[in-house]
Amino acid sequence: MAKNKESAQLETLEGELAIRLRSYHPRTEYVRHLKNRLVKPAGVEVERSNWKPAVLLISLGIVGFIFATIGLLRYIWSFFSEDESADDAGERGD
Amino acid sequence: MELSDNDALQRAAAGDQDAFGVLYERYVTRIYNYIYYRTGQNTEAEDLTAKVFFKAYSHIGSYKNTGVPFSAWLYRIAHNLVANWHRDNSRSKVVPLEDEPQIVMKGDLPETTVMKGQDSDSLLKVIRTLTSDRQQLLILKFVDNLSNAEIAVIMGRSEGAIKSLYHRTLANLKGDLNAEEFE
Repeated sequence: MAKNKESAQLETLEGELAIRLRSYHPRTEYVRHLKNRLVKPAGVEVERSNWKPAVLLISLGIVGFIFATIGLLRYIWSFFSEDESADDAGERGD
Repeated sequence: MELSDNDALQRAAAGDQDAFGVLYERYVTRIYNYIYYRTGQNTEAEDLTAKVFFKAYSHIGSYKNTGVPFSAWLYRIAHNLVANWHRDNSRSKVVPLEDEPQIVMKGDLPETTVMKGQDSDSLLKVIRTLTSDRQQLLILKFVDNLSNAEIAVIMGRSEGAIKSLYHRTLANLKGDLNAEEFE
């Protein structure tokens, strides 16, 4: 009799466990986000930076700047040279 | 055709990310449930579940197939992380089940009133006082609905040992619940 009662109590406990210990679903967003963190999604590639046009542009800029500087210096040089020759002519009383 | 665990495992070990994705989707809910019931907190369950899979992913290349199923390996990682978590939080107060996740309702069955005077939170509280292998057994049996044979494989014991452990766990649980009722 006591054994039957105990067995019935255990069955009741099993029933309660079956009800209480339910399966939960983690949040869908969480599951998806974690998968994306773990596994790189297919078809997504890291974009490689296209450095060649940038280097060409910078090189052209530097060369252009050098030519422009040389041109400017030559202009300034010739400007002052003309002034000096005019002064020399004035001093001689030409 | 669905990829078996072993095939997926071999491919994942060889660097196939999609294969690991298959394993992840197959086990994420089970591992999450295991950790959720062991910690009682949704946020911790999410955090630790992520750690389990990151750890599995980083060690999958060195995983050796010795007949132990992949699920057992995952549960082992989860078990260790939960144990560390309990150790780290042993001094701080844990508020159980404060934020329940999305729930798969089995319905409000009339059996919910079977245990008079015993609310379900106290049942979970008592379950968490059991040893970790007993908690794992109850979770695998009731949450994952696994058979004793499947549980035996995961827990690395014989089926007979699982049956015996189950009966001892039930008896222990009944005693603890009765003791709590009288407190």
